[in-house]
Amino acid sequence: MSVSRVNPELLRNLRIQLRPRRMIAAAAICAAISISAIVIYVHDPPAAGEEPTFLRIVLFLQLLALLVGGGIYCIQSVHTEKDQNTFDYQRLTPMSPLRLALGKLFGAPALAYFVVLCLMPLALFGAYVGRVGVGPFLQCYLVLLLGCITYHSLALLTSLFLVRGSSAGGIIFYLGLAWLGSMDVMSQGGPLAIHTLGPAFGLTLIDRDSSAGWGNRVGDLWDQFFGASVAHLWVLIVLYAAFTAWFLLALARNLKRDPSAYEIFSPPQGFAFVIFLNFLLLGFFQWATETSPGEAEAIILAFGLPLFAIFGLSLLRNRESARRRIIGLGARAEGWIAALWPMPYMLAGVLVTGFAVLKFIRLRLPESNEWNLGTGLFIVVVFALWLSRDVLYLQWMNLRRSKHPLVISVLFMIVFYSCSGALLAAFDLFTNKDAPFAAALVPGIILAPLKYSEWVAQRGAWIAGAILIAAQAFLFAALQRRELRKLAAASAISSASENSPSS
Amino acid sequence: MIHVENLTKEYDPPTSKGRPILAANGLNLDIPAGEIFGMVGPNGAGKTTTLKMICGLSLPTAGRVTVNGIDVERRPEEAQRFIGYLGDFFSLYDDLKVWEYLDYFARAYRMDQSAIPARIQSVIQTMGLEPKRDAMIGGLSRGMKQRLGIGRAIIHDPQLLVLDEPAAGLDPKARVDLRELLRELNRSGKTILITSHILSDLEDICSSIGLIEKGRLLRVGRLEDVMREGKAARKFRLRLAAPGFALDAWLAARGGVGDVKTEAQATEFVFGGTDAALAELVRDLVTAGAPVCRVEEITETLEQFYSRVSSGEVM
Repeated sequence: MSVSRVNPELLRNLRIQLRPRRMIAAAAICAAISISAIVIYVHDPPAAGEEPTFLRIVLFLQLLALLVGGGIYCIQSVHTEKDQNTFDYQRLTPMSPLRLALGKLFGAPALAYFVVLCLMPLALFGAYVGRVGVGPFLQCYLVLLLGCITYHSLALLTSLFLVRGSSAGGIIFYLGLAWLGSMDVMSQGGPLAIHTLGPAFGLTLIDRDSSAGWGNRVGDLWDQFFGASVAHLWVLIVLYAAFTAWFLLALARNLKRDPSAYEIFSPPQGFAFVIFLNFLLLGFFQWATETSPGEAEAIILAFGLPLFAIFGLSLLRNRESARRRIIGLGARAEGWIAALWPMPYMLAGVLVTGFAVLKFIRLRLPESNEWNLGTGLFIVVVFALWLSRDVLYLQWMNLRRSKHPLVISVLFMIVFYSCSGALLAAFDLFTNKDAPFAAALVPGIILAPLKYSEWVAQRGAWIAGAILIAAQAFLFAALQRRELRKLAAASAISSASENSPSS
Repeated sequence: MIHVENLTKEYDPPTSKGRPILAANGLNLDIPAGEIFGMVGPNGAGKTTTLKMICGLSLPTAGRVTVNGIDVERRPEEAQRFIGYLGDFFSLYDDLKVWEYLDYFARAYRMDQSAIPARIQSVIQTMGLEPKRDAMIGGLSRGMKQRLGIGRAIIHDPQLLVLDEPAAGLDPKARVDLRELLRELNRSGKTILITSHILSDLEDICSSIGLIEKGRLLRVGRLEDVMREGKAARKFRLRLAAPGFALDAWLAARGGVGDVKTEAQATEFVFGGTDAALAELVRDLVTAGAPVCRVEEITETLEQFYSRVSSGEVM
């Protein structure tokens, strides 16, 4: 590829990151590490059967450089440009947002890629002395590379949304996610039938029998997807590709936008994303275990809770967007339908997911005396009302005038749940006949889970409890409407002031 | 070139009380091609916000901007091809060389690859940056960086240049150079929209002007028309070669003359007549024996004019 065809943003990053002095310094450090490692190896060779350890250490160093080093470069990428006031000039160019995003994705961590390249001779040496086959060696690098690209795209997205002075927080968040990704959920007896999601999985691949073909993993590294066994390697490749695509979509959507109008996804895209995540959750659920239908429903919905919470947060409108809607749409933007935002999307998302969960429970799990479809359906409805109520509360608070409305509203919510939970538990209201009304305040208790016998015994009370949750949701919609009308009135006052002359 | 229609930008003040702030309050503006349009106003008047909305960098709360007939909000990338922008607190990539910086933007603006080196050379020459072609940007002076910033704005040869406070922080020599550079760019066919709170800078180069305050345009139009606005009569200063003639009394008795004041050797008066009537007045004065050696019109500076029409927040 000639320089003339290269992505300009990539070329700019390469020019900055790969200045000769930097490259020489990085190469010298890598050479020193390599020589020292080889000398140590020659003087003190590993015991029989431990030969691949050498390669594993080199791979760990490469992973560290690419995942952590490259990720930090990505986190600082857009954020630093915004801080230095250079980002607006990129936004002004006709470069497509995707092209700009790709330029940053592969350009920002260029030095980390160079370090990985400099350590390759040592890795090849490690593969040779460890008698690691070509197949596992290539598979290992495939996972490492694709996994890091996925993490980098997430880091870039984080960088875009970071506010001034919060890059340290962004780095901590990123490192936390990298650490979470290195945990093997399945081997720790978790409810999901999937192994390590992070690129660190690549390090385990060098232990493979070199004669094994692609996807014919020996041993236990198989995942279960809707009950079918799938090689974890292929699962990871598909997941990395899918998540990178989602993150790039969000980047391309926002990279050239006015920061006051950022929204991770459009509402339909966000809806599709949350359904995709729930689909994965449902697919990788451990259907083969002894879980009862009630527990299975509660576990899947509980896992879905943070997904829907993120979805709800991404749908919230701020005062600026509400103001623009009011001026653009007039009375329609302050009516009841507008005041119910974003409840329709939340309801639809939860109900679609909930019905799918019920369908799979019926298909995959044996019948139980403590659960039937009616109970399951009721739990889904309460779950949907619960999320709708809370997201309407957040939306109302987000329209109120305050310096950090969302932070304050989430803090209030935490205080509310902590105090209500403590009080209800202290008075033993979660377990006795008052539970339906306790659920009106803390609906999460329905995921205890609600048993069929309890449902039958207090059907009326449970329905009344659900109606109370709906009433609270309606109250927050009314409050949101009041806020919208106040905003409309304030705008009307401002625009009533005299207009400027025209030339 | 630029058409601005009822442009409004409203946001909440940093405190949780008080009415929303209007950085732009229903602005209406037309800037024809080939103009150097100066936007004048104190800090916080809404100049930067307006410019950012014109460039499509900031979304208006209401209203519409078109550049060369293209709606900036709906088709930003298309409109932005015609725009070269330099922000107020601009910054460059310190780790790039001067030519690399221009090369980056030339590629980003999708210029013809084969034409890029020649274009970079031409811009470097126009900006007077030849000796710094291979220098790292981090080592350039403020004036040089300003030139490079403008060079970046014109690299794709846009029809419209939007410059926000380009003279801020420059020494007097660099400001003179900048004015000359802008005139040259205007002569080459570029429309220039420039903001400043240093009024003398704008007065020298602008053909049209807009006075903005608290998000509202107080006056818009050709510089001379705007300056003349609200003035029914012109002011003149008259000097005599020798004392002894009762000029004050003679002028006071004359029709159309008022507000006569004498200070030192000069007499100032307001005259409501035409140029022909003024010529007749001077002729009569000479015939009456006054040793007239100089007659000049006293024109208001932009600064004085701004003080007159604004709430007095002139810089």
